[in-house]
Amino acid sequence: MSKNAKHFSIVGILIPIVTAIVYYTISTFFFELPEAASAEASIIDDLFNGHYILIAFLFAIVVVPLVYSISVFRQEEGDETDAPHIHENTTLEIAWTVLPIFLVIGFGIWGVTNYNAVIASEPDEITIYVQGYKWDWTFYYPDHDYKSDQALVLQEDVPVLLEMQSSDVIHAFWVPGFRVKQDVYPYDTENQALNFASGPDYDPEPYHFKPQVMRFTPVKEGVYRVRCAEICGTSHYSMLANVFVLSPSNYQAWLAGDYLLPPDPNLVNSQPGEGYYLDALNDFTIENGFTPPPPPELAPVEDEG
Amino acid sequence: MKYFLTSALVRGLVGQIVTTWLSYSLIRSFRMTVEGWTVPEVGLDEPAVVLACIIGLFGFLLSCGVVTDWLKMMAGHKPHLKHGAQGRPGWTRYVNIDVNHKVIGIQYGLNSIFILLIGGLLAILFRLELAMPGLQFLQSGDQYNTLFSAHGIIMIAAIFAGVGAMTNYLGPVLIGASDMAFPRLNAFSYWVGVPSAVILLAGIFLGGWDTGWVGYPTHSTTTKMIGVQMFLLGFYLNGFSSIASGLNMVVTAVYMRAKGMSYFRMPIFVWAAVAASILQATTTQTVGVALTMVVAQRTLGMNFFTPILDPELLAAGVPAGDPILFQHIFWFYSHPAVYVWILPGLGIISELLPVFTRKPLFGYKWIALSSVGIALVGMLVWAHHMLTSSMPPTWKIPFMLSTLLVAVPTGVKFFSWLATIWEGKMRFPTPMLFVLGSISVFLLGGLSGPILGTIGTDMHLHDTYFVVGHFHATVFGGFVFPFFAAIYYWFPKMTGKMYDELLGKIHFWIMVPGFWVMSLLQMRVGVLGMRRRIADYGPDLGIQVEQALITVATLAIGWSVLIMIYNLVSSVRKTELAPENPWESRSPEFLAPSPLPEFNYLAPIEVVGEPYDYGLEGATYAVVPTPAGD
Repeated sequence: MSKNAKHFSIVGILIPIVTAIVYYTISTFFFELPEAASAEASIIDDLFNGHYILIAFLFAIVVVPLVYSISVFRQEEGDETDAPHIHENTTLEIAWTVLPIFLVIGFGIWGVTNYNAVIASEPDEITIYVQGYKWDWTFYYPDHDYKSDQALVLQEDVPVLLEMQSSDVIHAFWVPGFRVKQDVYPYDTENQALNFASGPDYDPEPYHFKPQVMRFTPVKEGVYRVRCAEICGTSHYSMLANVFVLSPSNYQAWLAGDYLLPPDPNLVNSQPGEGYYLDALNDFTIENGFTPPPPPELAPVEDEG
Repeated sequence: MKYFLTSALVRGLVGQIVTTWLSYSLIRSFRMTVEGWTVPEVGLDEPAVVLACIIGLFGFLLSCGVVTDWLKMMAGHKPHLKHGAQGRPGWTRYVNIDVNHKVIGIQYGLNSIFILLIGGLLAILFRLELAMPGLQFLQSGDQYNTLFSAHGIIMIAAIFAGVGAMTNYLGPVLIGASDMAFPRLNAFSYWVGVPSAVILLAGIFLGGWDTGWVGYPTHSTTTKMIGVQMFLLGFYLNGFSSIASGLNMVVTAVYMRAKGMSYFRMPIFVWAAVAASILQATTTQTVGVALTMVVAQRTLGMNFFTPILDPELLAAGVPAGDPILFQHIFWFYSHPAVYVWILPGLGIISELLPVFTRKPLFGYKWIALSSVGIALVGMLVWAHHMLTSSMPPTWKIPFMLSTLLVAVPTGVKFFSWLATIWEGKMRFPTPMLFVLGSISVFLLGGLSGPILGTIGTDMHLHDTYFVVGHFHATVFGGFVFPFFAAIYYWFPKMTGKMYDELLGKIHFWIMVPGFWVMSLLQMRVGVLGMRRRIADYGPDLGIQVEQALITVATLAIGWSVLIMIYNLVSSVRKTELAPENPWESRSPEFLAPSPLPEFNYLAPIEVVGEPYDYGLEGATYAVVPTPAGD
């Protein structure tokens, strides 16, 4: 028994060490998330962090005994006898059935509260209509009766409500920096009253039509990318659109037509890291004169469809 | 050669091709004569393709002869089951209709490895494309989409064949039966899978398809790539194989166990196989419905999935469709399908661990019941594939909770395996290496599960490469590696020869580390923003190094599988015989001659003890009659 106590204490010491190493590795490097750029991203990242701790712990309690057994309890040369006849221990079995149930309930409750926080509506949301189609996105600003084919432009720290629909097949709206993702479903495509593009004729009420909704609050000025996350055919891979999160003054200038968005191709070839153009953004007002970013060093790779 | 050309396999394939071609020509000509029907001048006529593929299936079944006995019975005859090679060389049994479960098991196995190679080749093609940003050698997104879609469904067909190989070969042997309960149905289950695989493969060349293996409407109902029809049909027809073999296994395990083998004395693999078979026999129908609806919408113009909201149209009787309906009925099957693959695989792990640790399986009853638990919970989690869909939040939450619950029975398995290994006197031949490799890889799959189950984190990870890494780890750890372990372990029992140990170890030491690299990096690029199913990615994600490494790992995995095939083929040709019980197993099949006789045991065996009492002096599991004079 004392021999077994030695084995258990070695494993018992190793488990927290391995847990710490694995947690450190995955949270700071291996599974490091893109920079959180929305209020929702911070909420979701808390849950990510909880999961990373859980992963590290569960990894350690399986791998440490496994590797320890392989290295210590292996068959010794010439020993053809069988191992001790230990075939069950009901207390142990009940313990490792019941304890995980508590863990599951804990994560379940956390998951629910976290999700509720993510989808909660804010008081002064700006509504933007999003139309996905093969293989591009269009954005409408109903409050300003303005249509933006080029990019989704948002104001820093102002919550938005996206009402989304698709013109053909299922697409999915995802900006990695914002974390949130929502599938976008086709509406009754024959019916112009349900199409955002119909402008004032858009009237979903009589049809009980509900576009898909998604809420988030961008919190970091910068340039991001909408990436369609549902397979939608030939050019699914390049169904991208730029997202500009502008400071309040730039945003107002953009609405007034005094602010020019950076041209697309340069962004397609932007350097690693989605916030790269952050510093350059303030140079794009018309008053300052249009200064395009430096020519890209990499060859164009992503065809916009 | 003569024997091969007249075999059921060749007859069936010729029959399928001829009937498909003839019926296609006839239907197309007929359609051209009907006014108001548009038939394309060049290219394939879609409705004709669909009907011709279905007729071609009957062409295969009739000309290969797997339904001949049933037709005779309908005519009032009483045909006898034919056993043995019917005067032909022994190998011809594997290309002809044979009712012996071991022959069928090996047929499934060969089929599985063959299809696995095709699916792997497709994966290597698109991995080469993805090694660098930019389109390298593929000409369009359509080509890429066909490759990955075909890879998915072909691998699934290969896995089902592999599950068929394990349950058919091992099921009756382990419970001490002479064959499956319904030998003819068993042969049918195998042979109906062959023309289905042909239809799937043909779909790649006749148009291709770009829907992925999930085939979500309204993309699958509107895509112009008509290979999608062959994908849907091939998928659908394979379902017959699943349902029939599932039923067969359950009936066999219930009614044909050896004397003295109570349910809790069955080998643990049989528990897993029965749990998987129940899932297979009860859920496959729903995906059949989903696929039929898509075929009907495309071919017959019935509307199930395209939303119609106009009250006037609705009042006029135009049906209102809903794309999310498909997702529900599709995943109601396709999630449990994963458990159909991994339960037998986990059963193999539990079956082999006691032999190589020389210790009893810890908590036998708990492991047995955890298989049933996984099967039951697995039927209640399907909508976790739809956590970013338009399903209302109040529906998403229950599915999040049920999904997390899967961790409990899976945890029981892991902990029981660890307790079995603890203090075991472990030996490390190739099968044991693969068992340990399976545990490590399945752990990667298991640990990456809960983070996909909670909605918040899934919003970020859904449809990214994190999911790709997760399910490859689950399927490799839960099915592929255990399948290889089983092949190496029972190879001497199947062939009477021993495989080459060194080559087996080389296979292991390339494949398992290669897989870790591939799977972990897939998860990493997914977290960073790489979406699934994309033909190309920009350098802006900063994942070029990872992508190149994933491709290298994929190539290593591909080569290692070729090493295994070389090993098995060259070992079968050896003249040296393997020992009857190379692993000192207590299982009854290792107490019988190798290869096993036609009816497995010379006389009925009797179970007198517990299956895994290693280390208990004088304990016996089964009394197996030996040949006279032994």
